[in-house]
Amino acid sequence: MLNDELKRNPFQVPENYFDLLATRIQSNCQSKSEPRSIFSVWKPRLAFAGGIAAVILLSISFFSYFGADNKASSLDAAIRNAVYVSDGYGLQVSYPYNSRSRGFSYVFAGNKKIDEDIMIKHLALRNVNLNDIVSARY
Amino acid sequence: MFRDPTRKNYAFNLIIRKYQERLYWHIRKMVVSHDDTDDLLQNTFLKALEGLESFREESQLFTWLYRIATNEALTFLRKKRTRFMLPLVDVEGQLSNSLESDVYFNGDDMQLKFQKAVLKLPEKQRLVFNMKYFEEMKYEEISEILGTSVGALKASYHHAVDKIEKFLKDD
Repeated sequence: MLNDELKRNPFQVPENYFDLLATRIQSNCQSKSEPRSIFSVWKPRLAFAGGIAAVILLSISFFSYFGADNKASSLDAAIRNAVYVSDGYGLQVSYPYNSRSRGFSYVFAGNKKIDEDIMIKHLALRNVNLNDIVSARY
Repeated sequence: MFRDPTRKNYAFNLIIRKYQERLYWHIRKMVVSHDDTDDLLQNTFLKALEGLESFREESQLFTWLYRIATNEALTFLRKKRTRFMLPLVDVEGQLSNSLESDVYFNGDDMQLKFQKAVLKLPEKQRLVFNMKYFEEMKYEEISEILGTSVGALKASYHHAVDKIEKFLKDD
């Protein structure tokens, strides 16, 4: 039943397709198979590593900035309260005795009103930890 | 000749010229569309170029190229079938429908019906049928390309012929 007439190829190709095919295939194959430079091989990996590094740096910056800001504002609030209580002319910050320190007491005193910003900076420079403050009084 | 770097391009050009038409029609019968065939044929020769130096000559160059082209066509159809993780697509049904609107199909009604019957065959059976019926290859050659025993190929071909004849009678 499957006669030879059915073997005739009913499919066609665009005009001159096979005449140009070898040249086209060869030029495409050669451009694709040319050895790539070291930079082009590493480029995607470098881009990926750069992206990861950027994300890590941004995360660190974000947390250090906002983390420090929160800490500073808490310290700032504590000192402002203390200053309010002490009428602004002195402040004593007491630290408990623990394994890290032998206790610490620091006194701001003077005959003029203490500049709050200076006090904050001063405490920050001495690495005063807000959690360590037991009391703040004149 | 292709192991000599100064003559590799020349050798590759000869290989393309010698096998381009046979490989084209082999792929075209499987994927139907001319544009898809053109892409797959380029991939076939690109892979051949990449593997040319390691080609061991244990098999004939012709058999090796046919194997690459066959794998390209089968991979293409499988990807089409499972695209986008959607339920399996009836690729053969799509190919069959595309025949009627294909500008590069110039068959009469009988040939259209016949091609549709061939497209109804399972992938591997269709491959065997095309290679035996249209390309008139020997079972031994087909066996080397597909890695299937001659006995299994004969059985597969006869099943395919039966199915096609039944389809043509019933329709």
